[in-house]
Amino acid sequence: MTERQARYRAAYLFICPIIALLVIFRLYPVASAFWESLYQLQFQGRVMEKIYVGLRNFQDLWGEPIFWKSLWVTLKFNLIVNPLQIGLALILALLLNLHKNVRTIYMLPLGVSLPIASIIWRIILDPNQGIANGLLKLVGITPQPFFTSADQALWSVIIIATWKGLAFWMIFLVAGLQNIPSTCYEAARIDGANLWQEVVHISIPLLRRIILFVLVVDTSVNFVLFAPMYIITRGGPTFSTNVLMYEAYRSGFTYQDWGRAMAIAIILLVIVLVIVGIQFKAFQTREY
Amino acid sequence: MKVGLVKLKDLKQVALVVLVLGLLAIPLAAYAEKPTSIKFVIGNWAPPVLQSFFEKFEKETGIKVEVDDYEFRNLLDIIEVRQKAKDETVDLFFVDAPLVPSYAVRGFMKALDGDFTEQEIGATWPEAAVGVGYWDGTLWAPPINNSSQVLFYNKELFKEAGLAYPSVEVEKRWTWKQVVEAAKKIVDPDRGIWGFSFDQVNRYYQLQALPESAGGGSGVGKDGLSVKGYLTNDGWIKAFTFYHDLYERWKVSPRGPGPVELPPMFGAGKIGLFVGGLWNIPDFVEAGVDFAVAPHPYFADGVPATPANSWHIGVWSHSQKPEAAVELLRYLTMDPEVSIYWLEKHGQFPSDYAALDYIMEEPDYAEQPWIAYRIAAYEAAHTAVIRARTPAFLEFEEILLDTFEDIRNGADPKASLQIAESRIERAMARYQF
Amino acid sequence: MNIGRSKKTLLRASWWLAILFGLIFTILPFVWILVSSPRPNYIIFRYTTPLSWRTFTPVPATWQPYIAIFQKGYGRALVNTTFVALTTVLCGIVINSMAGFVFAKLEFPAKTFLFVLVILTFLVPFEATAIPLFILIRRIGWYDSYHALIVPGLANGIVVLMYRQFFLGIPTALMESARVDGASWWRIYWDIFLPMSKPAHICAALIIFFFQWESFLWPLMAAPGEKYRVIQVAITYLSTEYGLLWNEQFAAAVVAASIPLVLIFRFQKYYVRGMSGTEIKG
Repeated sequence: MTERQARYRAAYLFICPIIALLVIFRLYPVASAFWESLYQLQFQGRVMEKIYVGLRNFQDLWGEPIFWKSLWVTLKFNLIVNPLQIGLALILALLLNLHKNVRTIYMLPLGVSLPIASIIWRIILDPNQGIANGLLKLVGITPQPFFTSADQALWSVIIIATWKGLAFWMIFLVAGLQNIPSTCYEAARIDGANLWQEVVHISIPLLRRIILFVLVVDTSVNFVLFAPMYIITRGGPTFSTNVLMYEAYRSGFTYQDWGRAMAIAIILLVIVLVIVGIQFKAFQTREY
Repeated sequence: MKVGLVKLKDLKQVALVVLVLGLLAIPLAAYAEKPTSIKFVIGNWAPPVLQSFFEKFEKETGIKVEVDDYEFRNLLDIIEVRQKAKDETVDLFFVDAPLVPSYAVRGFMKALDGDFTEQEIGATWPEAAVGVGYWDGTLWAPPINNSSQVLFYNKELFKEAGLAYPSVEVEKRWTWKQVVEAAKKIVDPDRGIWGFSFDQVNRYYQLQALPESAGGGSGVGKDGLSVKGYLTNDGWIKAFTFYHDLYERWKVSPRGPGPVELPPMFGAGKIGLFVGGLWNIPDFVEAGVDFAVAPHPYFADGVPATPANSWHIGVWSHSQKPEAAVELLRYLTMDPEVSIYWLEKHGQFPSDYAALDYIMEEPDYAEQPWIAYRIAAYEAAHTAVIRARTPAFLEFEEILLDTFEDIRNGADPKASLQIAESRIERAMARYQF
Repeated sequence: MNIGRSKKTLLRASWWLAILFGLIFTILPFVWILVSSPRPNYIIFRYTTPLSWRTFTPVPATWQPYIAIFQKGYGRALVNTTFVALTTVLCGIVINSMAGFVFAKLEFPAKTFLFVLVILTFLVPFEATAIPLFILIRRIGWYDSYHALIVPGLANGIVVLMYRQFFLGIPTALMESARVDGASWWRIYWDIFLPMSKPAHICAALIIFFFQWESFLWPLMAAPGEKYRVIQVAITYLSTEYGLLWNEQFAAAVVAASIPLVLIFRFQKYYVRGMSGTEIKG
């Protein structure tokens, strides 16, 4: 067996378990689910029946103002939340690289699940009874409507998502930072680099691989995030927090309109795929 | 871990593959399905109440009752999921009253023609309670619970504001105007005290009483398949301008808290007047708030209207043991022991004549706050409104919920209702033949 | 000189102020559920407004919620979830790192196709696949079992990607020289790459553990009974027909938070700086 063949064999053997598991438990259900987007439930006399409608679900979406509004809300949410989370996480990781104890406190949000975090933040950000407005009043700022205003609701959701997300992504960035050999920094210092130069010219470039990972996964997570909308705002006020995934979830689980739900899911997938593809290309690293 | 044997590497690979295959291949004998057991899908509050009756049923018939219980918010979703999966292991399930048409047209239940005689039905339940379980001329699910709403008021806050208590007699019930007047005197933002709130503040179940009282009807046309013009008539606009003003103009009600937070707020003494369900009474008693009850308010130039109905029980359409299921169904819904036990021990308002008579006769129910049950018995017979009967109820209710929240947060009532109308019309399209 | 020093102190001060603000923001929800959980249910909302010392001090305090949740089977849920999470982590680390290794260091036909496939699996939200997966699990006979909770969660595209990125940073020369010395691929993977990747293992463990710990929809559908119930599902059962048992849910959340937090604190010591740097010299 040649070396090349040996490599091929090793590769396929190593990858076998994961591909098998993914095909059975992820890809087959995905295919089955997406197939649903070609059907609709229609009333046929006494009972509802599932009939094939081709691309009608997609056509219906195209003509629906709510779909476009939801698309806009989704894009707006992600354009803000992703850079915000990763930027803050990066800053925190750099600042707290050596301060183990402070860092540990920042990891606390990991312990609370997103639904429970949503419930708690709703209470904290309640316009009348909430602690947040209580504290704002102490420093002389007028109480804010938070979730009850169409202007602030999305930002309030961003607060929750960032609260949880920061802790998580900071950990990966810190791991990446820890992985940079101290020799790199020593060499730079000998050459006379100051702290800022160390960060910009050593830490960040060497973090590229991890940053790509964080970027891709954070994007994919945030594009389908809808727990706070489900629990607190229900897509409102006036659709200002109605992200596509929430729309899909409602269509499916509440209205049982699986054709529409899956059509939305497919559209979401295409968008995320394109964005993730761009991210991969932008952060391409050579191996060494 | 340095091991130099090539063979060991192969062994490890094999072991890994075997492990994975093993995990995939272990057959788990699902349930040794006993021929004499039925599965009941219910809400998680029900097993503690019904457990003794399940045991009694098993003793008398030999049929064991197994329960899959879910929290209320998940129960409806899970019913949909298991129906979509054509789950054959379920036999009976809880049916939310307004969903009977929706479940009927989607084939979720087995029709109960012939399982109850006309005489039995007429003798057990008032028309208003059992009528909801019919669709298209067939009985699908008889009721096991009912519900009603009363006006709760905080006696301490009333005394502080120097207000007279509302009368407990149904003929002298307060108008909405009187409620708002009292609320304005009680509301005190600095202390975090509110004048008035609804219980399920954004749900059609709760708020339907408003347009109904104003003469606007249930919001859906007779055939259950159209709302055009029904959500934007004078009654509905009047009702929801009133609702809007509670938050925006008079500022007597709080924005923000949802149906799960508002009752505890009343219990904590932070709300003066509260229109809510009877089920709150045990919680309010435990919370120690000084309260009393009065009948549900109404619009002075309209008629009194109150919310009603609760859970029914239906036979799962994919059930393999429908006869056993029907036996349990008849026992639970028709035996007065069940409804009276549920009433006495858990404060559940009943739907059957036997238990309603019990309320009117038992002297305990003459005192505050338990007199609420007698008020409710009156309402059930005279003012209860049935929720809109439409196969598209899930969509109808969801869209209205969003609409009510928007109005609550300050959106213009008329415009919001118009948007709701067009959204619901669209959703109903697929139910039209 | 003086200007420089005060500028530095100002910078330092504002830095610490920012950190402090961030800390308050981060721990406020925690503090809230911590002080709210030992209250009787009907008082939970009494002192939220106006802001006073009572807002943050539970008076009267009671341990009843903490006792009640364990009477309602929460202990079982904790054990279940911990077992499921740890098992998935152990098996998951091996399975996913094998794939990550291959994508990072080996070339083979259809590599890009398979990689895109793996990426695709975590771009599709779980809710979209919930029902077909549910039907599949029922057909295999795994409904209401540990298998249903563990096996679908083993293959995790995110973890594969993470390992790939991590392994890309380990010099190929290491691998090639070992190969020249006659090492098998398994040995290279098991004896060289794996031990060097402790931070990656911690990250993988974190991802997988939290994925299982926070899982709600799937366990609700696939293993709803009390025997196999997991934490997030168990918490929602702390309710009545019309309302939530707030104090119990908060108590449960506090308990649910403490386990992963303890694990994280303990495993922080594996983030040792320059560890992989020293390995390279070998």
